[in-house]
Amino acid sequence: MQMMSSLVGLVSRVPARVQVKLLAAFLAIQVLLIVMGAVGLQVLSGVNQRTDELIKLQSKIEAYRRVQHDTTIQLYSVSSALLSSDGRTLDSTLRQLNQFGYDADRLQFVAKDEVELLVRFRQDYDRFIDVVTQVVELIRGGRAAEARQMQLAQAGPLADRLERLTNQLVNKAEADMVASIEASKQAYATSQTVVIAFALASILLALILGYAISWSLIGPVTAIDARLSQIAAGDFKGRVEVANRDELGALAANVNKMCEELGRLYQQLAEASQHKSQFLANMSHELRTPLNAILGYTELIADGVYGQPSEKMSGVLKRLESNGKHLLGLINDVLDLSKIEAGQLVLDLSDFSLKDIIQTVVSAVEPLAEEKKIELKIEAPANLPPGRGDERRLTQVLLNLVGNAIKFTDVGEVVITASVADGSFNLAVRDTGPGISDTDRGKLFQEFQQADNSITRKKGGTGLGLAISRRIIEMHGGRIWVESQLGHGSTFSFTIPTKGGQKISLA
Amino acid sequence: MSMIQNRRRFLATLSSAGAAGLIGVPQSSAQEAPPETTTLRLIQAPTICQAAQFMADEFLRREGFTNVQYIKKPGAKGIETALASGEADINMHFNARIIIRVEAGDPIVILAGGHLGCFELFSTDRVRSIRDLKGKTVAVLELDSAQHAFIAIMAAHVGLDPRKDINWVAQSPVESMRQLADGKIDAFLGFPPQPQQLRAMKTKSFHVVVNSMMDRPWSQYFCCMVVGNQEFVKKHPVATKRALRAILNASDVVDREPERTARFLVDRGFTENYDYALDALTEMKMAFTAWREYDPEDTIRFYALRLRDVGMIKSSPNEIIAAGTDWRFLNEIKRELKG
Repeated sequence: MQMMSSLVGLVSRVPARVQVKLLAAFLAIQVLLIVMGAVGLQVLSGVNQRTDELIKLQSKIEAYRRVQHDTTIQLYSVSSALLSSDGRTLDSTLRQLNQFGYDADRLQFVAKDEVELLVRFRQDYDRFIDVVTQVVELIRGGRAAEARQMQLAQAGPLADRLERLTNQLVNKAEADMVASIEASKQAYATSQTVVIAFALASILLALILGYAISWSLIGPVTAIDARLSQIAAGDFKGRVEVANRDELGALAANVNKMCEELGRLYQQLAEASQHKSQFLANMSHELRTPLNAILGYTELIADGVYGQPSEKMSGVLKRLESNGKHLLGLINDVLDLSKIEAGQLVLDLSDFSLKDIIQTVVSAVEPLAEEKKIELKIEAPANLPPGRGDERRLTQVLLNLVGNAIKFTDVGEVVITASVADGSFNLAVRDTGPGISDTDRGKLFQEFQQADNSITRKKGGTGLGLAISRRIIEMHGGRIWVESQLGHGSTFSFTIPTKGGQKISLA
Repeated sequence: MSMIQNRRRFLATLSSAGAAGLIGVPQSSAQEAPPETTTLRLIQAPTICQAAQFMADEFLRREGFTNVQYIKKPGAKGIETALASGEADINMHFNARIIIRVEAGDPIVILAGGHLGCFELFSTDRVRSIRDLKGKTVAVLELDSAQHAFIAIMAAHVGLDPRKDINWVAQSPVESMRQLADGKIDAFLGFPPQPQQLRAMKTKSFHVVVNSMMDRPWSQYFCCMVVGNQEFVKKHPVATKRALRAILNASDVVDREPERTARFLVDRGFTENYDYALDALTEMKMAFTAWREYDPEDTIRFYALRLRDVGMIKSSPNEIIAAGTDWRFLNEIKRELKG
């Protein structure tokens, strides 16, 4: 494994493009395959050569067997002829004996590697013909006893030797054939081993190169991917380190460069945002003070502290108070969001009763619901356990959700449901309003976003309420979401731990 | 187990002229260096066809061996183990078994041809030729004996599969001969004096199917070879050559004087029946002098081919010849005799 890692490192550090590395790997495998093919061809050539040798040996054996057979026939024929003493038979025997030279000539053709034996065979055969000729002459001359003696003393042993020599030729050829077959088997086994070895080496090389090259690519890609994920999560501190000196090395360097640049920009943005939030928080505070004074004096004028206002002035004062309160709400929302973004919003944790929160919200919005003739219902068990969290902020969230529901519902009902399970409170506000489209649902919890601008214009609102609610719920370690379908109402739900606290920093 | 023979006893049984005087030890032997060892160990097994090495005692003495020992072994099987182990230095043995042992890696080396065929295959009337052995019962001493090897080779030579086509029975030669006479087995291959014993029964219930002294191709090859222990031959080349020469010279005596040889074999206890010994040696006439004319390498080649056909060896004849033969001593002796 250590070796493979080293190999991957080595391939990574090769200063060549990925394309070149891949081509080099394919070329190496190809070269091995070509070598294997060459070895295979050599093997085939060897097999062909050995087949030729075997055919030659077979021909040789056949020729030797023929001679062996002919020799035996000749020897018996001579013996029989000498016994008969008939002139014509003797002539015929001598003629056949001489004609036998044809087979002997053929032996010269096939037996180049057995020259010595062949020479002895030829010599013995010539001597045999001489002896037999002399024996025949003696018989013809009526000297049968001498002929008989010569036949026994000279022709017989010569015949035996000729037979042995032909046997020897056959045995040698057969032994050579066996040796050749053995050599063929051995060569086949060797060739088989070589071809298998080359095939295995090719496969092994392909696997090793495949492994090394793929990991020299996958490793950096994985590292770069991980680094990009970290960058996407806002971590600009790390660097991606790859050994590659190819395109991936360049990519990693660019990612690092991009990361540094993004980090720098993000830092600038964060600082700018913080300044903005700080500015907004300061401005909101500064705006609220004179606005509270305006609203206070407006109320005092409306109450007749500075003299009874005319009916016309009372109407103006009422509108002034209403717009002032709206402006104050807007400023409060901006102030909250600014505090959250500036990291200045801290939850005031204490024990709370969810039932009390629901009751407070219902009390606050009940007049509005009655005014719009909307039924407001609560579905909550009587024995809800006490929870821990920022009661004021949680009330703010529920009030926002219920207020929105009543605001956007013209007919029907708004139902608040609450339950507890697995250590969490689950709350939902269900309405029979117009519903929200799929597209709008995705951006509902973002700052300054509302479902439908036309409705917003009609119904009012800053578009900050749900964004603030999401931040508050998340700070409690909970989650908020919406389920809705156009024309079928909406259900806004959130869940928080019963013993929640400030789980995340939203700075 | 070993029995050191008394040289005086041998000389007493040898005819007065002395074989060495008749044949003569070549002059070159006198000019040769003395043997590296004066001790030579041979094997005494109950077989007549090894008569030449028994008759070689006087020749061995003249070659410089003062301590010739004969190690008694009950059968031919003991020869190959004694040669391989170094218990014996030099001895004759059946070529088929030698080839098998060479392939098995025994440290033995074939030095020369001993004599031509001596065995005969007897069978009942149910078997007229070798091919008729198919499905028949054939008795041998052991399944890996020389008998078994020879019959298997002969059967394979005519296309039979000796492993499947023949029912083998392993038993003593005495029992085999009795059962052959009773027709209880179909064939039996005998080495001298078993063929002579069977013929002496004068029964028509069996006959000879193959006589390796007369029937081709067996008659054209050596039956027994002279074999040496590899270590002995390597360490004692002069002694090896002198011992081989003594045995070959004694072969000539056996060929020329079968009566004296038969008497010697009986007197020395190598065999029991003089008539059987004489018959065997007479029938083997010319077989003992074949070493001068016949090519021993061709015998090894022929039998190695046949053993390979049967599947008893896997090596090629050339490999057997390369691994287990050394003709230097024989060739030198032949040259000296010609000179």
